[in-house]
Amino acid sequence: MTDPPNNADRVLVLAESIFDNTAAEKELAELDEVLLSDAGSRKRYTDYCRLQVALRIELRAQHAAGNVHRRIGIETAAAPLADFDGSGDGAPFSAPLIHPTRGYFKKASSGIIGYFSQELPLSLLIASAIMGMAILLAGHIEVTHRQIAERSSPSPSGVEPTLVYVGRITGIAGVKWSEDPNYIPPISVGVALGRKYKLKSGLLKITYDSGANVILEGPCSYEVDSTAGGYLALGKLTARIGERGEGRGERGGKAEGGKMKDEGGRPNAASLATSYQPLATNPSPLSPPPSPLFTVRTPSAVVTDLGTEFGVEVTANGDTTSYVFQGMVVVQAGILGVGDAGMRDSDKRPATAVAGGESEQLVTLSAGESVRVGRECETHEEPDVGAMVRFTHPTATPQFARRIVEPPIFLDLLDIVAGGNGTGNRRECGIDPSTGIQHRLFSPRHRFGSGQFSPVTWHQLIDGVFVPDGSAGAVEVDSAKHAFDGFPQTNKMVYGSIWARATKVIQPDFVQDVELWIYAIGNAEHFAPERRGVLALCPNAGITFNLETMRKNYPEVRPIRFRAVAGMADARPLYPGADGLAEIWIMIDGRLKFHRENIRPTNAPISVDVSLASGDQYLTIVATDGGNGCACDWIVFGDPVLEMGSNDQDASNLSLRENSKEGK
Amino acid sequence: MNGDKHHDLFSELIAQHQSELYAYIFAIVRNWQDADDLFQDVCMVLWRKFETFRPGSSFFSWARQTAKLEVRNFLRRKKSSTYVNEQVLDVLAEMPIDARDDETKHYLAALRRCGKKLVSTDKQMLVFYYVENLGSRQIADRLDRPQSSVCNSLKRIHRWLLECVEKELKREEYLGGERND
Repeated sequence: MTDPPNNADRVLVLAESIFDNTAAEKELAELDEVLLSDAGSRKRYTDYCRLQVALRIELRAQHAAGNVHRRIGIETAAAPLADFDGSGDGAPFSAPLIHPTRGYFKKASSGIIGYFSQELPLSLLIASAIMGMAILLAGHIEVTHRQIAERSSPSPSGVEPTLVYVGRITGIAGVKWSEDPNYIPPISVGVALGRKYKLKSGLLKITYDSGANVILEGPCSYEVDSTAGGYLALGKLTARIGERGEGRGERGGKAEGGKMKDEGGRPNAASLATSYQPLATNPSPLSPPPSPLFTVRTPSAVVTDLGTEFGVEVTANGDTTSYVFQGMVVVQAGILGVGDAGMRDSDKRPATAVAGGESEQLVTLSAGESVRVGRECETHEEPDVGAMVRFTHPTATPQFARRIVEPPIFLDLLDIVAGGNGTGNRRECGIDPSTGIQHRLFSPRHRFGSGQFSPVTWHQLIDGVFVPDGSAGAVEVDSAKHAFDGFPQTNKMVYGSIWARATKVIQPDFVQDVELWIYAIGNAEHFAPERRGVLALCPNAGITFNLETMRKNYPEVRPIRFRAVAGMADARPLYPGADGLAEIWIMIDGRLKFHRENIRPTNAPISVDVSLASGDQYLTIVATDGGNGCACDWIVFGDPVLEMGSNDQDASNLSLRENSKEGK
Repeated sequence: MNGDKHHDLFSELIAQHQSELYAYIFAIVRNWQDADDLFQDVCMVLWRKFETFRPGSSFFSWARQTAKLEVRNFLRRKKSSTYVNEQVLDVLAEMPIDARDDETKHYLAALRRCGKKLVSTDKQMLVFYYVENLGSRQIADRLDRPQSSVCNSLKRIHRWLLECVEKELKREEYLGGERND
């Protein structure tokens, strides 16, 4: 008879069955139960997971490192990834192999390769980590989001391609991918040579390391095939090159002061032909030659930047329309030769047979000018080499997206209260809670409420303010006349302003002035862990924000939750006899969503987290006294923000939560 | 701190702690594809909130706590029976951080020492499994072995490595203590 397995062994058995995809519901539940009940099992389980992750990272890093060697002509005696073959603890492959190549790696400073230029073994540790990171952050996009990261040259099975990054994604607006509409790429992800971006809709901005900015406008298909340009197979893009020539390569353009020679109002064809090769693409991802000018290739033309900003549009039949916003471009006509279709080949060189003869292969466009390069005879068949194309001038000005206005991730309520639109960092401004008038200075005095909701007319995102008192029944809390009948009777009195304050007190003299209580509380960092600042809401006061207007201002996103850290600042150091007692209320369209009573300065900060639905119109935040007047009820809401999410985000998943471990 | 230094520090810390952070995520979602997606999302959240990290404190601890909301949202959004439940998510996020866990460097070094002791067929199997993403059936085809045999071998290798790494880390700790003395 064998002993029953202990929990630590059992947890391994269960975990193995899950990773084997053989676990039944019962085993899944059992594993969760064991993990909840036994700390030793948790440790065993996380150790097991960590081992798997470390193996994956390590083996892939070794594998990728092995590929680097092979790519530059150094064959390892054995596949390093198969052998855990490090000569030292930090080396996943033998040390001598790295030294002959060190100089080369130092030259290849971009991307992950540069890390190999450092000494072992730390270098290889970092390399492993960075390799893994690169694989996870970039390489895995190929696996899980293959549709947006196709390579022009598929790698052999099991061989990780070496990524050479030429820029980053720096802007996204409403992007839907052609093959995975739900995938949202994170901003700042690296853009590697060979990446193809196929957008169904929306805008995507790529910033090349050279400084050039390209905005892709869906639907489109664009492949990054050089350090200064790309191949637009379909759709629209706008390219903006720095006014001083940033965005161009090291040679050519800069050497000539960022401008090409111009002969008779037309660029020197010889210099275009001899000083650079805009049509050539880089066959080796390890050594991309710098292109002198930013160039967009299309199925029917090559558009080369000579100025600062231009747009290119490619239609489904391959016709190319170019338009210049600023500066100049050269449009070279040409169509794909036989076998070049499909964007797979590195050689996307257009044939250059143009109706009218060789002298008309190039057209120079200045600001405000546009031209279309189209086939002489449109057919459904692939054109032959030497087929004719022609230039025409569009009758209507092409339309291009020139800017991406990115929707905000948060709207900062402090910024809004201080007069901003929620995306800035305005502070030290406020509102009179009894009238809605803007306060430029904190007003240290008592006021009586009128019993009416006071609209705020000077700010579209603030609906209004009020002084709550439940003695007369329901209280209107927004301009849509939503009313709430649960407020207690108060003394109808409010002290000070509703005030947006920075975390750090910027007027030290105010700290000793107890009338300016919002400053007397000091830095109040425990209420503002994110260091955004605090909203002063001394009872009895309410403020209502207009969610509908926020959605109109940012149609691609909507407020999905209100977050803040609430509590009562301690007045006792300044007023030893202070007896602060208050309540806070959060309402949506007059419906109570969050309420906490008996708040005292001795309570820990309360985490407020209220989810917002797509149809919610008004968010109301209220503080009332606890029945003993409003004196020293120094209620604050720290770091108050509206978290913004996509419109199709499922609000039902965001349940109302009172995340207040300490407060319970 | 200027933007570049801010960015550099973040990249450095992510690189140093990616193994632990990724393992935390993997322990929750239990499959590579979701772990890759979630890790990417979490990295973006960490970057957005990086200004709240206090240099000198434990990056992994901060990252794990900061990522918790994102992880929870992911679980609710994707809903899979193989994910841990939310109570487990909470206890995993609260697990004490072993000083050793905070050091990818030592862990990977120990793993490499153990890896060198594996026989070649075991190493090859790990490569098939982790690098080529092959399942046990595909590995069995490659090696011309029964699938059950491959499954058992993978379990055996993992368990052996688990024990070996643990021993190596303890040994290193002991030696490190001696050196410090």
